[in-house]
Amino acid sequence: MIKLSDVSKSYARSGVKAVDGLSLEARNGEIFGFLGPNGAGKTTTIKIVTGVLAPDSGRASLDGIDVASEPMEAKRRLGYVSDNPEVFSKLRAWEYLNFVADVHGVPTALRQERVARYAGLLEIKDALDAQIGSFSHGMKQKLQVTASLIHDPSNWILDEPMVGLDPMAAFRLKELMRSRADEGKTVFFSTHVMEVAERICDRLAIISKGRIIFQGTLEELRSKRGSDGTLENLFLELVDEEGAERAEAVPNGGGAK
Amino acid sequence: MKAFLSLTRLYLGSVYGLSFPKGKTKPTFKQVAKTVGIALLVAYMAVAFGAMFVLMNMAQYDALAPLGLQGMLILNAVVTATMMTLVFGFLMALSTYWLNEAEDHLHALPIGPRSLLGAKFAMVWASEAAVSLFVLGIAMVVYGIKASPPAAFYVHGVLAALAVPLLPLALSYLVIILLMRVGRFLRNKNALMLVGGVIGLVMALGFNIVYQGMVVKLQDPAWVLANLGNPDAIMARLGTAWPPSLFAYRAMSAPLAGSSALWTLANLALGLGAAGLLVTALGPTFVASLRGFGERRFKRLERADSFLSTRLVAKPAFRTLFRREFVLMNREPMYLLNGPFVVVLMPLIFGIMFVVQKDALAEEFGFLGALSGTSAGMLIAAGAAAFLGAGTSIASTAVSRDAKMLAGVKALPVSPAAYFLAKLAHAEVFGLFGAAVGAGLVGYALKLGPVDALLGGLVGLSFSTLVNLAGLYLDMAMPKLRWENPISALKQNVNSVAVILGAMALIGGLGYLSTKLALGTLAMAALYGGGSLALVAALLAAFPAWSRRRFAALEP
Repeated sequence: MIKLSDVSKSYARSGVKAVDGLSLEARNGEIFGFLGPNGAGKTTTIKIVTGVLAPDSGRASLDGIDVASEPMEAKRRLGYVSDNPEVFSKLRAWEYLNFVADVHGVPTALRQERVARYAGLLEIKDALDAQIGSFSHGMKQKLQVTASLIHDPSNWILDEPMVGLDPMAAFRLKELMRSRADEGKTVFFSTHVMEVAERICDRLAIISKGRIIFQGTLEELRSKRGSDGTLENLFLELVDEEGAERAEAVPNGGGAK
Repeated sequence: MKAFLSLTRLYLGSVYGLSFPKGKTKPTFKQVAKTVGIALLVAYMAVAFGAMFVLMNMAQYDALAPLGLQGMLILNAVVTATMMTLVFGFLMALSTYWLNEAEDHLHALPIGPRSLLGAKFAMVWASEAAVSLFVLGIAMVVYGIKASPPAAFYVHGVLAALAVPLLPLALSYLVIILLMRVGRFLRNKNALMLVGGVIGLVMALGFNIVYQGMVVKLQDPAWVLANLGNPDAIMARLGTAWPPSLFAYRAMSAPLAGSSALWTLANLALGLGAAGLLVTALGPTFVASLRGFGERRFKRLERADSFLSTRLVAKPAFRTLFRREFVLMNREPMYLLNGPFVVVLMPLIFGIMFVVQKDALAEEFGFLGALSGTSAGMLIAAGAAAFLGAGTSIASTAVSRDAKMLAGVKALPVSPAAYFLAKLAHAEVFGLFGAAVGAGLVGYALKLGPVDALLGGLVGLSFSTLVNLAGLYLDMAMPKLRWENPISALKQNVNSVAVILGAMALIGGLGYLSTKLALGTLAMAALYGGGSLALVAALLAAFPAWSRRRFAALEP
């Protein structure tokens, strides 16, 4: 279970408030979609949940464990696929997998079995002796997915996981997400692809300019909007309205000159 | 033309880290401090190298003037500038041939191949023109003070300095572009860095040998006359055979003659013509060689399962963190060459100095032989050990170098103290190696006894541990986390400069202090070694809490 309570975060360098009083809950056994336009605060929120960034205020927890005060305990329950796979390029893929497994304390037999399963499923098993820097974007993404599951985490967080994946890999990733949710684990992912979110999410949250503007099921969103439209249409209407409301609330339209 | 100018500006900004003024925006304190810092560093280097060239030029002038051959000084300076710009220009052209993946985007823009090559050529020329101006400028000043030439002499000199790098650079690009077209293995950033780094090291060592030899030989007027004042000597032959040198020499040796302007114009025309010809003829070939430059291929495993069963083996978390530090530093050629390799390079340079100047050193530092068995001998060994052990920049850049991986690491259940301690342990391995090499070489050179050399090594190691730990503290507090080129994390990292200069100042200060203390070898060792270890212990006691705070505060 992933829970955020009244979390705010400003970036020291720019002073921009990226996340503003954000609260949400992704429950066990569900796939939770996190949607929002570019720059809405999705990645910042994910970085706070994963302990990469510390919030200015509020609390983030994984399975009830506070990420800020008990980071090690919380991170043991977390598998993270970041939106930027351009990391560890000088390591060989198997070295990276070993690194993640060692840090999580995964025994030899289990890591071999899990790597064989996930790397096989995503068809990168025979590339694991290569340096990560030689991989395509999609292969790096598949490697990250494999690494994020090496310790069988109870919370799986994926930031834009479909970017760069071929159709077969994207299909298998969606199946994996569903099977983990069916096992009672939490799957939390951000995406711009509304069709994917519409098809696989049990519940979703929409973020705009650092604030949650909707949280619930797709049916709840439809009934709230009084429309039978697609998630894409509902999303666009909601974000447009939110933008207009904020512009009205700020004198001179709030636009920077 | 507009694309060429914009691109040149972009390259100058990104390669040399220059920022150009934008409208009326007021510079921040950080920008001003950075500019002042860079200016001080450049001034320091200019003074250090300048002194060397001043010495060379003055010795030449004093030896040649009585024979009326002082004009040879200018010819020799032009030849030196030409050779230096050929070497540095070749290395610079090679190392900047392909900057990074971001450069690939330029090829998707409507920029012609000639503008692409021209802008890169101009960017490299800018640094070579500075080198040429520096070398020729010093010769002009020395000659100017001694011979009082007319103002036109300086005008021709400056124009010659700007023209001199053009032809060597055009030739360098010609060779490199053709090599890139035929040699696939070179079309890889790592290969470039390695080849460039090795050539650079060989050149640096060669330069060191020549310079160290020159320092001695310049004291001998007969040698100067035979090698620098003789029209048949190699410098003079090179100068007269290489048109830009000859043209510059002709223009500067008779600056008021009507033909001098023609010689300078001919020099500029030759250089610009060569550059223009290169860009026109090889622009498309250059761009073609850049396609797929960073592309890397890998071999697929045939028996993946058996391979993985031997590789995927559990290890303790600290060991894996420690190993990762080595792998990530050693697989980045520029990190390896500028970091751990310093432990090998510095003794090599000192060794060359020692061998080449053996007699002069023996005369000047003959008293050092008497240091065996004294605390001074042990302390010199300790100083060398400390300097080498702390000079690798491993600890003081450890967090900065990890900037791109920080998000990935922070999301893992990594103990902050273990994460940072692995970095310190990495620095300490080379610290130990450096201390052993430093104390061993000094012990050998000064004929110290094994106990004194060992004590010196241990004191040096404890001091370098303190410096490494302080450097790590500094990089944890103020890491350079925003960079595009990995080398920026090491070579443009102010923490590394502060630590190296700070360590040198501290070693010097302690050396001076030692002359005021009348203590025996063991007491000195206890004072410096014990003092360093006490400070290390204090810093380590605060380390876990500091690690937790900084790990949480780092924002990748």
